[in-house]
Order: sequence, then structure tokens, then C-alpha cells
Amino acid sequence: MTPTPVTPTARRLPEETTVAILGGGPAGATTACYLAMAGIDHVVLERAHFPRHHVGESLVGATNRIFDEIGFLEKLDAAGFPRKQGAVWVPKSGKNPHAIRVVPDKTFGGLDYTFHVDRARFDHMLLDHAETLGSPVYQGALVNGVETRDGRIESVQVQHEGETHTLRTRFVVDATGRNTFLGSRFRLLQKDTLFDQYAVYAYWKGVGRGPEETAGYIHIHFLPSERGWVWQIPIDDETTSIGVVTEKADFQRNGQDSEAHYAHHLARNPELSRRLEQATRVSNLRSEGNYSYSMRELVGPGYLLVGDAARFVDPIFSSGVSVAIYSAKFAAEQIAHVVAGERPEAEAFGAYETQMRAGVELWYDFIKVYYKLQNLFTYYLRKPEYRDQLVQLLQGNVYDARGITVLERLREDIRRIESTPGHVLQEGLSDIPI
Amino acid sequence: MTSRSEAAAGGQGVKSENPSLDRTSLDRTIAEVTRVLLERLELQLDPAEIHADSEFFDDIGLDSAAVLDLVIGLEESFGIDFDIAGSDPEDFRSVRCLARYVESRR
Repeated sequence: MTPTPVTPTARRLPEETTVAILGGGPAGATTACYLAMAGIDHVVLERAHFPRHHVGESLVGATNRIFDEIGFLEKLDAAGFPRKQGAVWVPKSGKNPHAIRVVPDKTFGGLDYTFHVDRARFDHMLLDHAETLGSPVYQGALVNGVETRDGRIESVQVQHEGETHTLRTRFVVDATGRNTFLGSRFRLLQKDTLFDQYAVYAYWKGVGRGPEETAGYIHIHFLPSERGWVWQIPIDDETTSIGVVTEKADFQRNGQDSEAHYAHHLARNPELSRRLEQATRVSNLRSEGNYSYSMRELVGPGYLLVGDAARFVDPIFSSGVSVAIYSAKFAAEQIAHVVAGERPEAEAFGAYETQMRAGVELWYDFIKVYYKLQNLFTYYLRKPEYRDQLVQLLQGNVYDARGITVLERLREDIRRIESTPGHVLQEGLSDIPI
Repeated sequence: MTSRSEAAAGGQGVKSENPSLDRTSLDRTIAEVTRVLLERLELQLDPAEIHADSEFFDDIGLDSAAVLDLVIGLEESFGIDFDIAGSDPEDFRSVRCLARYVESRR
């Protein structure tokens, strides 16, 4: 797919806009798509020049709905990204892996699969798509300040092509990802003390992907340490992303450098070791710290936080892009209400905050229960009475929690195990409070 | 996969077997539990070392993840459902104890 040529007229930053979107990743680009479709004046300010690298290559089925709404699903489907139809959990013993099909119900675009995406290319395509819908996108545009009056943002300072611009704006959407531009500036950020995880990953060629029918699935290889696991994600026919996730304390305790840490853990799951026997690493090692956090507020006078800029949870269920684009949709819808004079801003933004929090908190609840019983998770996936709802959650259907009872049932089981002296599964539970 | 389905058929075809073999139902269940234990967990043990009173944790050296793997194997083999969260630790003491529990769930 060739990038859409940029129209020269869009190159000069305006002096004023209705919505300044900070960041052109999936959250910012999707916000832009919805605003463009609603005919609301806006600009996208992206500090990088795309394509640029980003972690988080695996999508969930719920994303099909949003991509369909913004007219992107067909392009995505035609782009040749590996199709994803499930997940395989490989126990720490390496024996008896459990595969589960997790497929969307073809409601959107007739697709019963989602994708693994090279994020450099995917993010670029999505931002280009916003431009084709009429979004003015400025790359190499670094926002380095805001001016407020009476607690409300009035303008943002933008470095673009060697000049400093002041862009007056009515609203700001912070889609700056884990840079958390406004969250840090307004001191909204709260570190999550429960999940101080650390990820180290690289791309490989020649990784064994196991049986043909599950070769396109994401693989989660358990490690024999609490909350430790390895992702195996197909990037294209030859390339596989392999990432080690552990507690940061585990990394610091061992006093290793990233290379030694990575090699050490890759050797700890026998099945994973077999799969890497013929494989060659083809990229540098990258690491991601600065793990889970939340924000005291997701909105304020004139601004909304979307995607990773609003919340970051552990990536075990590939929720990142899904949260980014759903929050973008919800934010754009509320902005449209305010612009149309249908709702007062505080009420509309409050509704956004409620909607966003409900979805992300369900993900977070799921993640906590999962880590609590990581070794037992595939047992429950085999049980029809648990499986259907777990698959709904794995799919990313978290924004309408009505009827989701499985997490409470799992918590009840956990309490029974914990309260039975000498229960055989007690040592399999981690110390996470649920 | 062949060995599992054959074994499952053997495990469930209790009534059709020749009574002159003189094996009680519990004995057969103990044999099946032992088979699943050895095959599913790929234990590097001499099968002769495992007997009805072998204890899973102390003698065989299983951990809770391995016990869970065994439970999955037994559920598949016997077509039963363990109430794992509500189980009594005593049921998981030895091969014989677990075989009794399996019988109680059939």
C-alpha cells in the first residue's frame, strides 16, 4: 500500500482550530477519523515522521467494529497482515499446550479474524486513512507546552519545521501514548503498584510456530516465575516477535543486563526453547518499562485523555490498540455533542470518563484474576460454563459488562481455594489481591 | 491420540469386560489414573515405581501445576467434571485416593 500523498496546502499550521489532537498513533488517528466524518474542524499534531516503531502488534476482535465504522477495515484486510484467530497457552512445563479459537462473529466486514500487525506500517496506514477522510495531519510537530486561562487550555505550543507556533484551540485530545503529555503536566498520573512489569522483546526469523492450524495464533509461554510469560506473535510469514514479560523486580534482582535477562528467560520454557532452536534474531533488543498506570481524571476543562495517555494496563490480552480506538470513538462522540450544543461540556466529558473507565476497569479486573490464577487459567478455558464469557472478554467486548459474571465466579473459586487449608492448587495462586 | 481413545474406551467399557479377570472397578480406575499420570505428565519414572499408595507430592514430586494437568487428563479420559475449587486435599494424597474421588464423580 502506497502512502497517500500529502496535500501541500495542509503543511502550514493554522492559528486556530476546534480540536487539537496531540499524537497520531491509533488513538489520535482514530479520533481524527471520527471528527473528520462529523465535519468538526481539527488538527493532528504528531511529533514523529511515520513510519516509526511501536510495540503492541497483536489486535483483538473487537477492533473490527471501529475499523468498519471509519471505513478502514477493508484496507486493513487487504494489507496482508497475518490473520489472528486464537491463542495458545503453553504451560511452564512446555507440555500439553492449550489452544483456543477466539474469533469475531463476522458482524463487521464479514471477517471472522483479527490481525497481528507490524505497528510501524499499521499506524502509518491508519494515520494516512485519517488524511484521506480530510484530517489535517502534521508530522514532525512537537507539542511542548500549553497555555491555560482560568484552568482551561487556551492554546498549545508547537515546534514545527523549525518554528514555534501558538495554536489556539477549543479542545485538546491527548493521544500522546505513554508519554502522557497532559497527565504528567497536570500531575494526574498514578503508578500502578500491583503491576510493575518489564518487557524485553525482539524480532526473529525461523521460529517454529507449532501445528499448522494454530501457527497464526498468539502464543503465551508461561515462565516458572510469578507473572512471568513470553509472547510469540507472527509479524509476517517469516518474522516472529518474541517478548519476555517479568516483574521489574525480577530483572533488577538478577542484576543482569537486558540481553542476559532475555536469554535467561527464553531458556526456561522447554517448548519455547525447542521453537527457537533453528531461529535467528533479526532485530535489536527493545525494552519497555514504565508499566501500568491510571489517571486521577480522564477529562478536565476542554481536554480529554485517550488511549495509552489515559491508562496503560498489562499487555497480556493485547488490549492496547482496542482501548485506544474505542476511547477515540467515545471521545469524538462527546466532542460532537458539545460542538453541536446538545450537551454541556462537563456532562459530555463526564459521560466519556464513565464509559472509558468501565471498559478499562473490566480489562483490569480480568488481568488481575488472570494473574492470580495464571496456572489455572487454561483449566477454566476448557470448561464450557466459563469459556464462553472468557472468550467474550478475550475478544475485547468489555464496554458493555451486562451479564458478564465469569470474573465473579472465578473470584469465588479463588476464595474457596484460599480458604481450604492444604488445597492442592493453593501454591498455584499468586499473591495478587483480587 | 490413538492411545488415549483406546484407553478411554477401555476405562469406560468396564461392564463388558470378563468378570473372571477379577479386577474391581477401583483397581481399573487406579490403573487408568496411573496411565494418565505417566503419559500426560511424561514423567521420567519407572512405571513399576508407581503404585496405588504412591503420594503425588511426596513420592512422585508433583507440583500444583502438574496436579492440574493430571486433573485435565482425568476429566478427558473419564468424561467427568472435577469440582476442583471445592476439592478436599485428602483426595489428592495418593493414586488410590484420587481414584476413589474419580469413582465418586462418575
